[in-house]
Amino acid sequence: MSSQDKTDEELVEMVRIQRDFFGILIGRYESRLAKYIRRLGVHDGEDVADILQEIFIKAYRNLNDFDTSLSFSSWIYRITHNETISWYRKHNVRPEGNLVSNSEDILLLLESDEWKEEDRFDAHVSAEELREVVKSLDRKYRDIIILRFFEQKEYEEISDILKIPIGTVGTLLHRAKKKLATMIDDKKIHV
Amino acid sequence: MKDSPKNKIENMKDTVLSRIEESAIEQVPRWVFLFKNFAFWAFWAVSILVGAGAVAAILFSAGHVGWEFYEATHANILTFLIETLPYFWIVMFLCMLALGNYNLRQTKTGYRYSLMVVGGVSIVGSLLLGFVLFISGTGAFIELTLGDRIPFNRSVVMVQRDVWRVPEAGRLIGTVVGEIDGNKVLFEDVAGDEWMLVMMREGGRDRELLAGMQEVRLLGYRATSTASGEKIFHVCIVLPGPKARSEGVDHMIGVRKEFTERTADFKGGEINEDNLRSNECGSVRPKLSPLPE
Repeated sequence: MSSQDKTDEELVEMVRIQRDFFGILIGRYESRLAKYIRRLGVHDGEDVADILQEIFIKAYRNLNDFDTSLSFSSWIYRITHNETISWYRKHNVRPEGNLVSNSEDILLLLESDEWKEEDRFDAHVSAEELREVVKSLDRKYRDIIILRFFEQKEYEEISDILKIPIGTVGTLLHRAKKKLATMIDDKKIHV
Repeated sequence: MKDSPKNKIENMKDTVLSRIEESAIEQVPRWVFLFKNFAFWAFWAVSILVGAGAVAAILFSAGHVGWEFYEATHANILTFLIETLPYFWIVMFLCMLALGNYNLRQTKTGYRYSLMVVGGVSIVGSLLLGFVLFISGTGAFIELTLGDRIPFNRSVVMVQRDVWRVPEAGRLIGTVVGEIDGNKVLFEDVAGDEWMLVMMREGGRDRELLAGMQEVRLLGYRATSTASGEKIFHVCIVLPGPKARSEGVDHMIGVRKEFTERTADFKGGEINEDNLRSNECGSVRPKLSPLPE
C-alpha cells in the first residue's frame, strides 16, 4: 500500500514522524481549500495563495491538536474558515461580492436535493440574481449555505467546522433557506 | 521571476515544505493542547464549585432571613424579598454559570452540546453540589465568614439586624441577660444595648422562649421616655431567633405555622399590667389575615 493510498488520519500519524508526508496532505486539499476560500469571498489569487500557505503552516504547527474524534477534512476546513475570517479582520476588508463564484456553484445549489424537496425555486433563477441574494445574506447564514450546498458537507461536518452544535446547524440552515427563498421572492425572481 | 498566483497555488506543496524547513517550524507538542483542554475543564469545574458555594450561601440565607415572620417586618412579601434577597450570591451564581458555560464551550468537544445541555448540566451540577455543601454546613461558613467582607454586601446576620433591630418600629432582636422578674426582664440587643423588657401578655410560649436564653425576636413598642433614661420595651410577642444551624424546611414551616396561629388573635391580647393596659399591642404588626376555620 503506497502512502498515496493512506487515509488522511493515517497520513497525519506519518507526518508526526516524517514531515515530508505533509506534502501528500497539501496535495489532497490545496485546490479544495482554495475554492472554499474563494467562496468565502477572497478573489485575488495572490491573497488566496497567501491564506492557503498560512493555513497549511498552521495545520502543520498544530498537527498534535488534531485527534480522530473528527475527520481531518473537518479540522482543516475549520482552520481555513478561521484563517480567512482572520485575514478579513487583519486587512479590515469585507468579503467581496462574488460569493457564489461560478455557474457550477449555482447548479450545485439549484440541484441540491434539499432545495428540490422544498420546491422553492427552479433553474430559471439567473446566476447573477442568486449571487446578489447570497451576497446580502448575514455571514452566519452565508457560511452555512456555502458549506452545505457548495462544499457538500454533512451536518456533522458543518458542526465540526464552525464549532456549533448539530442542532444549531439544522436551525441556521432552515432559517438561511427560508431567508434566501423570501429574498428571492422579494426580488420577484421566483418563477 | 515572480510566481503568478496560479503557480503559487500549484507550487503550494513545495512552498510550504521549504518554509517549514527554512524557518525551522516545529509542531507544537501534544501536551500543550492536552493542558489547554484540561485547563478549560478545570476552569469549568471551579466555576461549578464556586457556583455551588453561592447556592449553598443562598440556601443558608433563605433559611435564616426570617421569611416566616415577613408580615411582622414588611408590608408584603414583595417588599420583604426586595430587601432581603441575597443579591451578591445570586449574581455570583449566574456569573459562575456563564463562566462555566464559556469554559465548557472552549473544551475540545464542548461546541457539540447545545446551550440547553451545557447550561442544564451546569445548573443541575451547581444546585446538587450546592445542596450538599449546604447540608454539610459550608453554606453557613461561606455566608457568615465572607458575607460581611464583601463590599456592598450584607450577610444574612446583618440583614436580620437591619430588619429586626428597629425599636421605633416595634422590633428588637437579642438575648435575655437576666432572670425574669414578674413581667420584667433585662435584655441585650444585637447591637449591645441593654433594655428593660416589660411583658404585655400572659404568654406561656413567650416566657418559654425568653427563658431559653437564646437569641429571640420581639414585637412590641418602645416606651416614649423614662425619668431614669432607661430603655424600656413593651413586649407583645416573643418569636424564636435565627439559629446558627439550619434546621430544615419542616422546622421552618412549623415556626411559620406557630407564628400565624399565635398572632391570629393578636388584637387586644391580654395585658397584665393595669397601668400599661392599652390596645397598643393591637396596633403592632403583623396585620395578618384571619386563619381559616
